[in-house]
Formats: sequence, C-alpha cells, structure tokens
Amino acid sequence: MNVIERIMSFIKKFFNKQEEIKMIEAPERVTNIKEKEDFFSSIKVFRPIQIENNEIETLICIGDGLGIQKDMKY
Amino acid sequence: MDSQKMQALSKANQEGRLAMLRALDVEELGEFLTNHREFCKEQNIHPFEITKALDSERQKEFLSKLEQCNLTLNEKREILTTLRPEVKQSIDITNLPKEYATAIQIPTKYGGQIEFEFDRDFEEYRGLDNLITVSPEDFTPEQRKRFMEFCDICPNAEVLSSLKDVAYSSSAIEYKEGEEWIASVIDNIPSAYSQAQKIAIIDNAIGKKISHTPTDGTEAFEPKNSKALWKVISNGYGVCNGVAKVEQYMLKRIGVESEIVSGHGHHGFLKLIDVELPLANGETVKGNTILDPTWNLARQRFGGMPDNFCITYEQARKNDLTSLGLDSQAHKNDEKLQDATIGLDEQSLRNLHTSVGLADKEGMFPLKNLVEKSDTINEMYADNPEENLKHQFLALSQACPEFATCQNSTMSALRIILDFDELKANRCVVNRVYDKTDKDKNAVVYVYLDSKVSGKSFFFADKDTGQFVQLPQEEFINRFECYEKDLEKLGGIRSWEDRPKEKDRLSSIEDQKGEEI
Repeated sequence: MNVIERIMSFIKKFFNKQEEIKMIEAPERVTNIKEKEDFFSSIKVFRPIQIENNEIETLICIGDGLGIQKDMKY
Repeated sequence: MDSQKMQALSKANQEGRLAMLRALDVEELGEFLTNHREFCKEQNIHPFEITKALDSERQKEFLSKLEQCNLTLNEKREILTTLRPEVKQSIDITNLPKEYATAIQIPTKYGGQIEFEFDRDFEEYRGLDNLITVSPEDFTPEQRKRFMEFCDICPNAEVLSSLKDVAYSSSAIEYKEGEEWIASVIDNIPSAYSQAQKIAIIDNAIGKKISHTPTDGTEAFEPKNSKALWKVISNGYGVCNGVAKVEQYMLKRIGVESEIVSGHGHHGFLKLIDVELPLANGETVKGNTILDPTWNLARQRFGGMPDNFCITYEQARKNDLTSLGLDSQAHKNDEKLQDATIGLDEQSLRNLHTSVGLADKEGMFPLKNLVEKSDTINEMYADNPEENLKHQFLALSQACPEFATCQNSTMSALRIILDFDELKANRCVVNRVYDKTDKDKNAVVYVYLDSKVSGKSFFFADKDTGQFVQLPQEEFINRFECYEKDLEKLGGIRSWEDRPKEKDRLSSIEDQKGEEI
C-alpha cells in the first residue's frame, strides 16, 4: 500500500466513524439484582451448538416421544 | 382342470381366482376342490367363498355333489351356512346329520356373514369362525362374559374395534386374552380409590404391558396389527392411536369419558373429559386434561415419573420441544385442546402415585434404584467402558427382564443409564436393526459403542436369552441390517458408519411428521 492510499484510508476512517455498540440496559425501575439478572437471561438468545457425537444417539419416534422427550425422571 | 387354467389361476389375484372358479361348471368345480386342496390352502381359498356367489340353481346342483367332494366337515358346514336363503328353504333337513341341519338353520346377512346371536347354542357355531364377525366394544358385562365362552369355541372368529371410523380386526382368542388382562387390572383396583387413582393404576398397567411398535416407520410395519384394540394388548405392541384406544376403552370401564385427539405431528393421545384431580395444596380441580399413554409407556415400564399424565395443554406443548428447541408439534391442536386447562403439577403427580403405591413415601419413583445402580457402575468401571456397558445391561435386565421385547421402551431407558462421558465415547448409538434371516424383519435393539479406551463394541438385545449379547463387528454386520426407511433417513449410511449427526436428527423429526403414527 503506498503513502497516498494510507492517507486516503485514514481520512475515510476519520469521516466514517462508526457508532459505539451500546449494551441493552435493564429498565431503571428494576432495582433488585435478581430481577436484573432475570431480565438479562430473558433477552439472551440460545443457539443450539452442534457438537459432534457428544450424546447417546437414538431413534427419533414421535409415536412414543423417543428421542424427543426429555430424559425420564424419578 | 388343465394346466392352462391352473397357470391362469396361479397368476390371478384373489378376486380373479374366485371369479374364475365361480365360472367353472359345477362338476369341474367339485373336481378342482377335491384334487387341488394344497393349492387352495396355499392361496387361502375357502370353498364357501366360491359357492356362496353361485346362483340358486348352481348351488342346488353343487349340493347334489357335495358328498362326493373331498372336503372337511367344517368346509361343508361353511358351504351350507352361506347358501342363498331360497336354496336353504328348499332343503329338507329332517334326514340330514345334525351338523348339516344346524349349519343350514343359522341365519346369515348379505355376503354370507353369520348374524351372531347370544341366545344360540354356541356349539352350532363351531368351525364357522371364518363366517363370524362381531363388534363387542359396547357389550354389557353379561354379554362380555357370554362372549368369552364363544371365544373358546370359535377362537379365529373376527372381532372388530373402531378407531376414527375405521374397523380394525382382532381374533376372538386375542379378544379373550385382552379382556382377561383388562379384568385383572380393573378388578384389582380398590373400589375406594378416587377416579384419579384409578386412572393412575390403569395408565401404569398399560405401560407395563404394551410397548410402542418397534418397526413403526419401517418397511416391516403393519398398521392394522398396531391399532386393533385386543390385538394390541395380546401382542403387547401398539402405535399411538392403538395404545390410546386401549386406554380409552379401559377408562370407559371405570366411568371416565375421553376423546382420542390428533396433534399436528399426526400423534394420537387422549383428552380426558370432566375429571377430578387432587392437588398437593389440598384442593381438587375438575375439568378436561391431557393423558398421553404412548409417551408414558417407557416411563411406566421402567418405573419413571409419567410426566404425560393428566397435564394441561400448555404443559403438553412444552413437552413437544426437543432438547434442541425444535417443536415436534406432537400435541398441537388448539381447536380440540384449548379447554384442556387442568393438570397435575409435579408434586401433585408424585402424591397421587404415592397414594396408590407406584411411588415411595417421598414421592420417588422406582427408576431411582436403576439410576443409582447405574451411577455406582459408572464409578466402579470408570476406566473400563466395555465392562461398564456390560454391567449397565445387567442392571437394566434386572429392572426389566423382558427388555428385549419392549424395544422402544428399552431404548428410552438406555438413554438414561448410558453416560456418554463415562463410557469415554467417541460415539454411542442405541437403535434398531433386524436379523437378515428373519423374513418378518422384527426389530432388535442394538448398542454400538466407539470408545476412546476400548474401541468399537457391538451388543444386541437377544430375545432368546434375555440378555445383551456382544458380537465382533464383522459378525454383527453380517448378521444384522438397518431398515430401508432408517437408511433413507440417514442418507444411506448405517448408524455405525460415520455420518453427520445433528442435521439428521432434525430432518428425521420432519420426515415423521407426515406419517400416521
């Protein structure tokens, strides 16, 4: 990259300065810490992580919920 | 009959065969029935099916030659019973043997089917099983008792039950076996039990008796066997609608009305109407609730908490979500289920099951013992996955000796007790295959473990020995095969072969939604 290109790049960055990323804040009226944590949890987006072969693989059967239902409890 | 006609008969379908035989002149028909008994047996041709459709004159002509035909007494009685009414009236029965006379006197409906009569001497029906079809769902207790006597005499008579306006066929002997089992459950419920307690006992008994049809979704699946009420009980296998039908029938016996509802995932289960449920806070709620007997099968079989027992629609929809957050929509039906607003919370469910002896004083279900044993095995064999696996199988077989024949329930239980990390697994698969030598392609549960420590191991649930049997990889692959439908879902790659995983799990659910299960 020559000197002129570097100068142009600097000028572009200077004039096209991006806004800072602002974090979502809990509503002001929420003062309780637990409520704040609940609020943050409620806006989290969970994306299933595709991890290869980390669980017992079974047949999927809607008929009896095999492979769909949560594991049996006692 | 010349070889050309025989060839044509062999090639025709059943209706075609019967039509061809009815077209023969009476003498030739008599010769055919006498000389080709093996052929008739192989092709399931009953002589009466030919003669009942002959016109009156030809029936009379055939009767004059009946004694010259080499037919069994039952075959002759079937022919006599299915004669046209005008032909029957023309016969003088005074000098006929009693077996013939009674056969002629039995009234039949259009098509030759016998009109079943409770006040007839059932001995007169003996041997006429093929001509009798009865729908006994709404019989009174007295009628049921009397009908059981009939079942001993005509064990192969057809017994119909209905499901969504379709009739499904069980045999009389299956009816008897089913009814005896139902009576053994209901008659042993203490009369002082509340409605909810009785429902709990029945749902548990069904889970202990029936398992989901393990060939469901494969080329070996035969829907009619999995939806016929008494056949499901007798065989011990049913699909969702079939199991729901059994539970609906049994609940009706204790005065609980219900409706079989289908979810968007083509899954059938029950909405119980106007039932009373006791809550842990001492209150009682009354209204409609959801009970999914098939989703409870494995839980009941292995003593787990039946978390599809008397739940609200909201809870049922929560249960539809997979661990990946995918909605199976198995119970989605807003129109039918918006009024299913009452249900048991977990504590109330535990209390109810404690009150009938299906959970301990603390509300814990028997599965606890198996899980604790499994945890101990994990500790004991932490460095030896293969031994760990063998001992897990042993614990499972002790908890459920019939595990090899309740395949789907067993697969659910294996998901609980096999621990991926404890087995040091690269991969662990619990699924179904069939023995290549089995023409019926019955399902066999297998476990394939690829462990970082012990390498690849193959086990299958052996029905003969009641144990999990280990086989070397080559022997396992030579002996067993995956179902075509399972292979299709997995892109032609067998479970023990390398394949991408999560994508298949998701697409597999999508595939099943379109099928009636």
